[in-house]
Parts: sequence; C-alpha cells; structure tokens
Amino acid sequence: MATITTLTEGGRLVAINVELPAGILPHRLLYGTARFRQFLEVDLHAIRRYWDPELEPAQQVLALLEAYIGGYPLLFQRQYWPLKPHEDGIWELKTPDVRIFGWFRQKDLFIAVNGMDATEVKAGHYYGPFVREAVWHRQSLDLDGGIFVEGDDPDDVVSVPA
Amino acid sequence: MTSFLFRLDPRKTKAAQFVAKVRRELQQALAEEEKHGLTKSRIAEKLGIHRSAITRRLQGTENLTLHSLSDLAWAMNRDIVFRLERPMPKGNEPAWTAVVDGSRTDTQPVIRSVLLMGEG
Repeated sequence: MATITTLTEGGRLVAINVELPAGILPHRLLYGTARFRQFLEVDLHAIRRYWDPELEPAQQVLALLEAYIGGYPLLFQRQYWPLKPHEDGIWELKTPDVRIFGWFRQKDLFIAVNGMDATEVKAGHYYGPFVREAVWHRQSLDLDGGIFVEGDDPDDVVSVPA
Repeated sequence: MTSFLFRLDPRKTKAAQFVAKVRRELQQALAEEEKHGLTKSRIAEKLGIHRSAITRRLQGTENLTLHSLSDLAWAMNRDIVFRLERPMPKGNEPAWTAVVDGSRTDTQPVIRSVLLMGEG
C-alpha cells in the first residue's frame, strides 16, 4: 500500500507549489501526476485565450492554484465542481479556459491527473474519458488502499482558514 | 524530483495576482452585501445594465475597466482602496517558512514553501 511520501519519492506523484503573495501561507495541498506536470509545463501554454479577456490560460491557472493552495475562498461551480458519477469522486478545478481533473484524497488535498483546454473538453465531450482516466490512475496508485473523498459536497473537499 | 514550482515570468505573475485579487474583492463584497439583501439584479438595476453583465464581470468573462469597477463599487456602496507600494528592499523581506504534512499517514513533510515579499 502506497503513501503520498512513497509515491513522491518514487516519482509517481509530484508536489505542486506556487509562490504565494507575501504573508500568505499554504493552506491546501496539491499533487500531480507526471502527465499533469507536463500539462503545466507544455500543453497549458498552447491553449488559446477565449473566455477571459484579462488573463492568458497559464495566468488563469496560476491564479487558481494560488487561490487553492493559499486557502482563499473558492467558488463552487465556477472554480471547482464534482463530475458525474459522483460516487467516483472525480472533481475538476476550473478557470474560464482550462479544466484540471483529479480527486481529493482528503479534504484540502487534491491530486491532479490531467488538464485540458475547456473549449476542447466541452466540444469533444471529453468529461467521461477524463473521469475514467482519473479513476484508473487512482486505482493504479493504490494510495492508502485507494481512499478518496466521495460525493459532491463542496464542504467535504475544501476548507477555508478561520 | 518530488516537488515542482509552477511559475510564470514576474510580469505575468504580477498581472495574474492583481486581476485575481480584484475579482476576489468584488466577489467577497458581493457575498457580504447579499447577506444584507443586495442582489445582482438590484446592482444591475442601479447601473442600468443586464444582470448577466454583472455575472460576467464578476466571473472574469467580461473585461473589467476602471470605470466599470468603480460602478460596481458604487452600486455596492463600497469605497475603493488602491495603493502602489515599493517592494521591500532585498534582505529586509519578512520570510515565512511553512511545513505542512501531506497526510495523516505520512510522517515526512511534503511541502516546503518559502514566501518572500516583493518580486522574485
């Protein structure tokens, strides 16, 4: 049975960090697969801006990850959303132009599997394949026996510092 | 490698942080005012625009100009506080180190973040 530590040491997961503004401490944790890291490093920068007139997709993701890791309030439905079937526990982190797929191992600990251009996801009806990919990846990790946060309650997956 | 720092160049980072901060402030102000009965529909009515335009501005899917930002603040009866500050000189930044456990079952810390004020 694997743990976060053994998976990161073995290279199957990587802790994702961002530089938070001065005075802001990390409140939530983010890990990613090698595929997600590649998405952040390469694929993300090829996505064209469509819905957000101010920020490029990479900037949108930086702002989202800063909000997530920094513990800012996240807007349910607009910034995070549970995908069906809810018993699979797969969530998307969202910006206007980007979708990030993964699951919450526990409250405030998201494991990102993959990401994609939001327009392509919607046009290609790729939600199902991304859900299946995330479930498959979760099962392949056998992280602590495969535990994850089930359901669709936003309060089960993120907290806000007092 | 066990950790990856996602970063953009300082110029893009500055813009992303600023825009995100403005949007958060607007959304937080709206959430607070909604508790006192102010609705998006009422704001739209005061500004003479469609409710969907308010939603788009708050969501970031419509360009937010200084004028439209001021209008939203006026409609929510909020003052705007805006300052441009010099970053603290190098060497005088308050440094923060946070070590956070990754899980209940892990004994090793999995995130180490050092936050420094100013551009870096």
